[in-house]
Amino acid sequence: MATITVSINNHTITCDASSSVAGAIAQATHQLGATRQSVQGMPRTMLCGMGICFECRVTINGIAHQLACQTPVVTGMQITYGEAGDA
Amino acid sequence: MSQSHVIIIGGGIVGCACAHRLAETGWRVTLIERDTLGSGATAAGMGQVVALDDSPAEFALTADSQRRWHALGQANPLVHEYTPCGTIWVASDDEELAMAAAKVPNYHAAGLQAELLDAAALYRHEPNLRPGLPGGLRIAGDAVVYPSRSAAWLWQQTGGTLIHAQVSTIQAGGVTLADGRHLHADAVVLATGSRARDLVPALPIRPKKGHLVITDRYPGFIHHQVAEMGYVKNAHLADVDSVAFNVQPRATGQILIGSCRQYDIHTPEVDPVMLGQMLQRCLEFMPALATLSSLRVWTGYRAATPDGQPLIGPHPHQPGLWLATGHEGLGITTSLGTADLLAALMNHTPPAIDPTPYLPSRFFAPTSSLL
Amino acid sequence: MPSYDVIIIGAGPAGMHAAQALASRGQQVALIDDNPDAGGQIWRGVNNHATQPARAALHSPHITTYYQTRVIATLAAQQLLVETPNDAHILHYRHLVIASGARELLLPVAGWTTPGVTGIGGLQALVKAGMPIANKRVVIAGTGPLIWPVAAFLRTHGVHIVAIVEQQSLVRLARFGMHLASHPRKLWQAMSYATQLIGVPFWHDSQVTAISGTTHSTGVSIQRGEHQFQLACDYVALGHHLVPNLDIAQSLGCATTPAAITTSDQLATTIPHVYAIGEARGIGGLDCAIAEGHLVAAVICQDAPAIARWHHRVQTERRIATAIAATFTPPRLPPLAADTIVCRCEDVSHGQLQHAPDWRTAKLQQRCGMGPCQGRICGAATQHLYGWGPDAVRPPLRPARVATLALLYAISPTAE
Repeated sequence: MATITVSINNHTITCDASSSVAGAIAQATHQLGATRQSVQGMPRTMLCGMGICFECRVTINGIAHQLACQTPVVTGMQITYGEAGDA
Repeated sequence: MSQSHVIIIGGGIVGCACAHRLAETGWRVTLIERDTLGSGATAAGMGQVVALDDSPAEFALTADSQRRWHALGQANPLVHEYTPCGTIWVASDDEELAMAAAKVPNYHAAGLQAELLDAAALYRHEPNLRPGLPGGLRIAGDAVVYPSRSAAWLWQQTGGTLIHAQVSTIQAGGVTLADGRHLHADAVVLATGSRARDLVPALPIRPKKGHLVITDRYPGFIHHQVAEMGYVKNAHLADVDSVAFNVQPRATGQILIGSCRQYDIHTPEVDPVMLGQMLQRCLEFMPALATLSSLRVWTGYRAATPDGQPLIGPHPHQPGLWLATGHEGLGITTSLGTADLLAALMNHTPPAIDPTPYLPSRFFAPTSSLL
Repeated sequence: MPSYDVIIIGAGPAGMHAAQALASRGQQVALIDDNPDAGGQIWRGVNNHATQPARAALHSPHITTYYQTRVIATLAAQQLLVETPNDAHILHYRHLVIASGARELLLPVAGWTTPGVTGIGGLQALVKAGMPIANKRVVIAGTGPLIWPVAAFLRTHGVHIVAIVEQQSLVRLARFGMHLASHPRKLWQAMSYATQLIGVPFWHDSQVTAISGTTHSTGVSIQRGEHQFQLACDYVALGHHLVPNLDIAQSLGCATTPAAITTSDQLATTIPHVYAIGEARGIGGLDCAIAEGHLVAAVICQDAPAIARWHHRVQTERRIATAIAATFTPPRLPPLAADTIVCRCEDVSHGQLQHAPDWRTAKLQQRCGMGPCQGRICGAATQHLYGWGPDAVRPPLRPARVATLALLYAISPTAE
């Protein structure tokens, strides 16, 4: 299976080249841990997997509020989450 | 002693503020709202509290109201989401910067903070503005509130009676509802904004449609309400469709983006061309807006009068009918000052500011029978 | 401005077959989908003998594909504003085919905001997109036709399915089975799922009432009649059947019901030049979607023999779908605690909403439905919980970059 490397929260991660950003995060963390804090500070992550719920928003290449579930990974992609602005 | 009874028509921010102030001064209040409280122009507006010195009348009412919002907001910041972020009026060129400089003494004379910003200070406050701007004017006492919630809160303090109904006519001593019920009152206050002519057709009110956009949360993207100096010129002087750069940081971290004005459009649909023109204007001033994610677009109607000042006071030909409408784009700001002024007039107590410029009688010839 | 004979919104099986059938008749077609590839939810990541011909056909020179592309606004004069990852376009069409599919109905339950809780189709989509799942313990709960195929899918990926928790009664499920039995191909498919699911604990007449865990789900509470019991698990997949995606049709002014875009038996909506096919026309399943893809192409090209042939096929498939749909009762929810979140975008709880008089008040006073999902999740929930009606649809139909909306300054309101 072809792999590529991306950066997730400043860690270099090798993931399946056909993954979505959501899939890459799950591969890196071995679970579905929180990828954002809700407006009241609760941990949240992807729910619908198909671009409806917007729970999976992360920052990709510096642009906030991108959908992890609908974005394919690209070599060198910078993915960050859990910081201010991802709420 | 029996209380005097007032019926207020319209549960927007102006109607709710009037109800609040009249209840405080001893009236028994009944509020009639056809939808839900704070749902018309109150919900559609930016929720801005701004002191504007473009005319003495406007300055007196907005400055008085800015102080009242400060007191209300500081006392209960969570309810009102009162954010004292201030306003920066951005000058596009040296001529506008000179205009800004000329305003500083006016604000100071009124006891308000005002600071002329040079380019370096401007970018220190708002680094996302486009390069090459000469400076601006910072009014630190301006604020942002969440008006629908403020309207509901103001009403809740009154202990009055809320009736969800449509008023069909106003007559001496009360109103008739669309379902045929008659309600009696010692006084009636009309506070239905751009729809005031539905009940009093001769009022000099025209609806002025606006569009707004709200984005996802970007805390720290801007720190002040930021508007172009040309906003006021575009807003009030021109009688044609206009757009102006005006962005605002909400307490949530969201950015509200405006503004535009269109006369005599009565359809609530989003006008794509107008929306596009408005956003192009904003991108000229703040190119970094381009990648922000917009969640919703909506429209609303300001109640515009020929001279840009609201109608506050007695209807000159209909005894018992009082007007509190025509606030154009400043209804959130001036709601509190309006309520205080109206209550003073109705109670025959000394008003905090001179009511003359806002009296409805200015549009009615003394002997005419326009109604 | 790019102009097409036909723009198809949605590259699931319905849209793919419509594109292929239109292209083979010489039409210039644009196929738009918000996902990175064609296939829709059901064929996401599936590349086998069943899907390869339809995928290969999309390479036709008559078809332009716009993936990762969202329809942001429907405009006058047969134009659409669409957004791609780095750009935005205004596209013109002569005919528009809405194949926008369906989404899962996701309803609140205590703990449903905990990471590790997903939709049923949502979990499958995440696994297809690279989420590791082998050896994880999963509870699948709710109702609807997705449960069985997704359970079978997960099992082939090495998942330990702790339980399937189905709110329907055995009588209902038996009736569902009997409908399948009268359609051999569907029965065969169901039997193959059943074979793959041998040994999986199955609780009918049961509901998940709460999900435990703070930073990640650790288990579920299940109610069955009077009995409450707990199961430990890593993931919880919840779903309550499907709801069609109606927003684009509503934006165009097409008549809709809560269950479907209103169409003639030749797939025309109530707006000229606009057609609807597949799940957006009412949940009908894969075979129905494919048949409607073929039929819409025949209708647009006025190919009378093909219309007759596919029309018959569509009628048959719709009859089966209607019968199957009738076996499912509407979703039931366990009573919600006041602190259960209903609007996930703005963290509005059941306690804040249950006394609100209407949707508009809840929006204005609590910001319910005002977040980036634009009410797609909580709108279904508040309709179910409080009977609140949906709103008029306005642009942007999906969250869009400011620059995308700014492009509208240049559109022509009337001319092509």
